[in-house]
Amino acid sequence: MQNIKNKNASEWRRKLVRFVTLEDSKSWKLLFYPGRWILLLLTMVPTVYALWLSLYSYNLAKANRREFVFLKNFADVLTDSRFWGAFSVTAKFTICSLLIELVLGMLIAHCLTKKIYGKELVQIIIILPMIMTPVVVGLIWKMFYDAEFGIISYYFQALTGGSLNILGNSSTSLLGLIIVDVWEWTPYVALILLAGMQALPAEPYEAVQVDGATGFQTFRYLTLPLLKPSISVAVMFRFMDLFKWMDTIYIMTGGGPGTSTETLSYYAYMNNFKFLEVGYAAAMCLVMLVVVLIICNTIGKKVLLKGE
Amino acid sequence: MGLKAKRRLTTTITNIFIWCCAFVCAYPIWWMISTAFKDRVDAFAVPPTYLFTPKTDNFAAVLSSGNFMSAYKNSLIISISTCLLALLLGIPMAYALARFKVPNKSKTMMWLLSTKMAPAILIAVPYYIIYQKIGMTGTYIGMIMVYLIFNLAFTVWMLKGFIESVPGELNEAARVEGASRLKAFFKVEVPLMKGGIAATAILCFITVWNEFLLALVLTSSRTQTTPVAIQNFISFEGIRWGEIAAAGVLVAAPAVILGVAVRKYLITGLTMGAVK
Repeated sequence: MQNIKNKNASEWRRKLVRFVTLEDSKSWKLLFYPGRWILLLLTMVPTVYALWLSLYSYNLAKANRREFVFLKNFADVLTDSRFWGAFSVTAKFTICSLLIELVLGMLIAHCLTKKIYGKELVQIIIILPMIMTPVVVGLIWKMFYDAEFGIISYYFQALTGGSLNILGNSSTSLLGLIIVDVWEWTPYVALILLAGMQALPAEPYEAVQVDGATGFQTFRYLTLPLLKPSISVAVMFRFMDLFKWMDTIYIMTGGGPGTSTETLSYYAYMNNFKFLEVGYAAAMCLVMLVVVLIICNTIGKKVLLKGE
Repeated sequence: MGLKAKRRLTTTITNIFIWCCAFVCAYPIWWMISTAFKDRVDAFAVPPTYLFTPKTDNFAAVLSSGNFMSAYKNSLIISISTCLLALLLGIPMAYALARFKVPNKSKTMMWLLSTKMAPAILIAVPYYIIYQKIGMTGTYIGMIMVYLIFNLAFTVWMLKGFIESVPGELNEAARVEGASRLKAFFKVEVPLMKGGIAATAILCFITVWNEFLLALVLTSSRTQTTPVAIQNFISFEGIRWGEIAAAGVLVAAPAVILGVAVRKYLITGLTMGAVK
């Protein structure tokens, strides 16, 4: 009896040691579960809470008057003209920035495959904008655009004689923000595409050279299709950032003048922290979450999980 | 025009174009640094003066502002803690996903990705109210928890790639010699991916260091981080450009220096390992 007990105990001990030293095929649970449960808790709690909040008409300023309204907030979001205005600003901003960054990035990446004097130094300089603190970037450009003391307004006036107040004018303010984003993120797109270009196979290029294809034809019918995976990576990651983008807006325009630079993130921020309409803000956030999840699960899967 | 001349012309044009781009990237940064060293008169001069006697008054003003220096300390505490915690939880998760048969692996990876990609405002709204209710607004631990959401997913994606790039046979070889899998991990994989782990940690640090929205709504004046504190220089008597520039240099410097140090891994990191 004693013997069996001892045997059992030592069997247990052996199993435990195997489990802890990762020899067991179930050892992944030990490695995986702590992080997963913490992350699940940290993400599920706010999501569930937001879901609950979104069913109430709840203004923080009148905290005692919380009223269950079921799906009314969602209906309100979808019929709110300011929401659709923010949606269109987000769409304009995203599409314009993305297109400019892709074209310019492609050009820069192409040039970087050629012989460049001081290439190492160039590659260090062009990563500076993307690692700079976004708030600092916003402040620098705000000073550049300043109608009175900004150098952009100064040189514009020196060249054309007209005055320029990019951020103070609702027809140009979004353009001003697009320029900042292009400055900050074109190098990022360029470097993604450069990595793709450097991995291109040499044989097809030798073949088309023999056939006497022009530079443009080579680019259009060979490079572009071969680069598709890199382009999708760049588009996806830029899209995700542009969609949620708001640091620079907060610093530079505060959504204005009027609502000319108010994006979805910024409008949600205003609802929650300025108008204190928490229930409504939560509903808006959930609508945005659905959009992100759909995109993430369709494009993201294709782009990032090759063969898994 | 001969072929050689044509080629030389192309090289010249490419070089001019690339250096113009580099100039455009560098100019705003150079401008900030030079403004930081200017006095009030030079800082507001239009057109900007390119020759001036550098003065360190702005830096002295920033460094003597207790508010800003405590924000610097807060930023360091929050960034470094998040970074360490993300590695502590992330390395085992990444190892499990890279080397074990974890059920629903691709679903798990997509779930991790979606936590990283969710707009920060989604986290900010519920956490703001939760923290208000349980009294966690303006605590370090509260900030570290929300930053962990973004950075744990990133750490796992990044490190999984690095672990997979170490051939499994090396681990097997060490185990044949009697080492356990755990020991083999520290003896074989860790030394080979030291650079990768360091890069992951640094990118994690930069992300937290640069983050603004969550810091804006979830910190109190006591735990404010630098991106929020820098706005204190925008006062009622107007914006103090010189001091903002000096503060900007101090805020951006750690991110820029560390970012340049790991530039080999920068694009890999910013694309969650999709670009090698």
